[in-house]
Amino acid sequence: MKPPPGVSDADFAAALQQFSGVVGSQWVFTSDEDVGTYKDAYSPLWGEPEEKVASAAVAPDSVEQIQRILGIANHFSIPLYTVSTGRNLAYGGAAPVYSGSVVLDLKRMNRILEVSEEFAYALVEPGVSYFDLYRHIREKGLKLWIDVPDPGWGSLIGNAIDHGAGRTPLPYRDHFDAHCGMEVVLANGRVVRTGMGAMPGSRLWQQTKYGPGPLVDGIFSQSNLGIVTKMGFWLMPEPEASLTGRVRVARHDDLIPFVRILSNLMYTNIVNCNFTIQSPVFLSPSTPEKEQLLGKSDGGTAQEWDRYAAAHGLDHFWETELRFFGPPKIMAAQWDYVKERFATINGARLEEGETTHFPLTDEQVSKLPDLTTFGIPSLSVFSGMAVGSLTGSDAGAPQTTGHLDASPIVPISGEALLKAQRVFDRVFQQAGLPRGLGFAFNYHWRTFIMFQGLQVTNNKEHNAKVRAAYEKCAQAAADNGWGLYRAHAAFHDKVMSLLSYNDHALMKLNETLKDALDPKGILSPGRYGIWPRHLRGSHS
Amino acid sequence: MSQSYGISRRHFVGTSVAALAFAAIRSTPAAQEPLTPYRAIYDERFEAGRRFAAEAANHGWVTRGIRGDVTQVWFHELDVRWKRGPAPIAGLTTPQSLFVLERLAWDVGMRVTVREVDATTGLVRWVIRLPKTGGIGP
Repeated sequence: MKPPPGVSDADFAAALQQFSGVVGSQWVFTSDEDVGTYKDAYSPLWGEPEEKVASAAVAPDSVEQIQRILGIANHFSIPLYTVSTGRNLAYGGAAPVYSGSVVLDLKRMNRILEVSEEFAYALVEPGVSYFDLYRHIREKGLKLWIDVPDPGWGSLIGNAIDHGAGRTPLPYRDHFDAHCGMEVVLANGRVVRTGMGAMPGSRLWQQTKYGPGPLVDGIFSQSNLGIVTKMGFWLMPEPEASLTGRVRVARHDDLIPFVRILSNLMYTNIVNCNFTIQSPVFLSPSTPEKEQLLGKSDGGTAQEWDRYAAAHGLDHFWETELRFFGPPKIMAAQWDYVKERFATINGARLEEGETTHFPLTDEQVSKLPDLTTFGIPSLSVFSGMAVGSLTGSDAGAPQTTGHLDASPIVPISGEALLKAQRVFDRVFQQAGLPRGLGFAFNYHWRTFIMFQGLQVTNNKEHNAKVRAAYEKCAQAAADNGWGLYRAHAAFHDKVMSLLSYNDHALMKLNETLKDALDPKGILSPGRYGIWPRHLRGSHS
Repeated sequence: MSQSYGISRRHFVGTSVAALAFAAIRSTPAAQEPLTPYRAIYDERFEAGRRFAAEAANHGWVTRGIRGDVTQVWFHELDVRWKRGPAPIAGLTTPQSLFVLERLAWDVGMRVTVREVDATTGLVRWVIRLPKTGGIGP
């Protein structure tokens, strides 16, 4: 057991002993085996000296215990790395950004404090998983839905403060946007409630984000300025039904009007589902002609791609599936209007899909191909992606141990989507890595996310290529005026360095807040590039 | 994380792996005491998984078939049982399924105590239970 950097063996031993006095020795983890469970299973630094590792972990089960741990950590200058359930795979998992930190594991704080069917909200602690809340709602027979990410084993709070998203309509699928009210423990142990929670006896803490004065919730997301111990979430009342409709357009350049119509339907709230725009042409297996087109400086002209599609028997270039939720009459009207709008694109094909009525029985749920669409937690995403052969690799190539998602965001326009595809494809092509062509998601309001999956292995040479490609993706996104909405912990410094307007004024503000709120720098040093004063410069 | 990757699946080619796997789990030196798992989980897409299940059932174990995804057995059985405390499980599945179950089991202090990959099929035979020594883990 190695102490955190700059902490003596004696001080570390004393701190751990005092942690045990607070939480009980069974909730302080120091063995290699136990601490090893906090490693990032998908680490791109696997086996490298820079791999992020914890020195120990401590698991409190109350705010009062957290306050006492903070007192000890401040006294001995022990860096703590807070995780809710630590399942943020592809973005760093439970591994601390600053190696040697003690993981503050909030998994035991797993109480569902309140669920209101009347006002459609829940108030939960950090250790509550999507499965936990789903089970609670189902057992109580409440007519409420949750929104879940893929997969659903993580924490509502952890996912929301990392700006995660799911698959049901807005605003619910944007998890931070759908939160309402926080309780935060500051580094000095003071407990703060945001919004109307600041007013004793408030009946509106989970019903309005607005109280008098500044909204401060945002500074506790993707940051290290406090420990979120409670959070409210707006929940969607169970809809009567859901209807799907598929839209296909024939030609490469149809993407431009296709997205323009779609964005207008979104901004007018006629379409508010999560959808994926994908191209069966770009997603089709590689051929020499396809590689030749992709290798051209312009990535292939529209005419060349249309000829390619026709020659390969692909009868449409772009498609998406839209989903509506609500009373059947309303959904039918929405779908009719959508059909009318897309009919203006020559050759557009619109096909009505199935209608699903709610509630679903357990048996119906067990047969659904995609649970998360209906706010039902699932682990199925792991069935094909956690480990296995590298995509496109030869036999004997290193086995993938996981993946990263570089998560660039681009404007919702066909032009931007096409350009972004060319830009990111070039990065992957030059790196000699499998490419993620042909799709974009609308997780958040008014941006496309173009996930760029990067498979990691236990092979250092391969992982070095992956890290370089990730950084090039981030840089390319910045160079084009786009960005990343979220980043793996290994790249927080790089991604935050791209926010350089006015000599990095935003980071300087973050650092000013850090110095004021956490002067000893004990809370998650380095998270999203925010380093405490004594570590600044050596890491950032 | 919702895109799917084209990860190649291994297909079972042997026929005797399941019986060997079951015997090995029963008699593993790592086991502290004879194992009676709360559930024996097998991947029903593979012949080896089905044979493992048949043998396990012959010994009175309660078996559950999956097809890669552990969601249903986790939500309806394991999570419910483990909320009352650790209970061992064993199985013959893909590494992907074990990856998920192992991490869920960590929450109740259990560890993978047997993990053997069949070189031919890529399937894993495994046991998850409380470790011989050590406290409740994360």
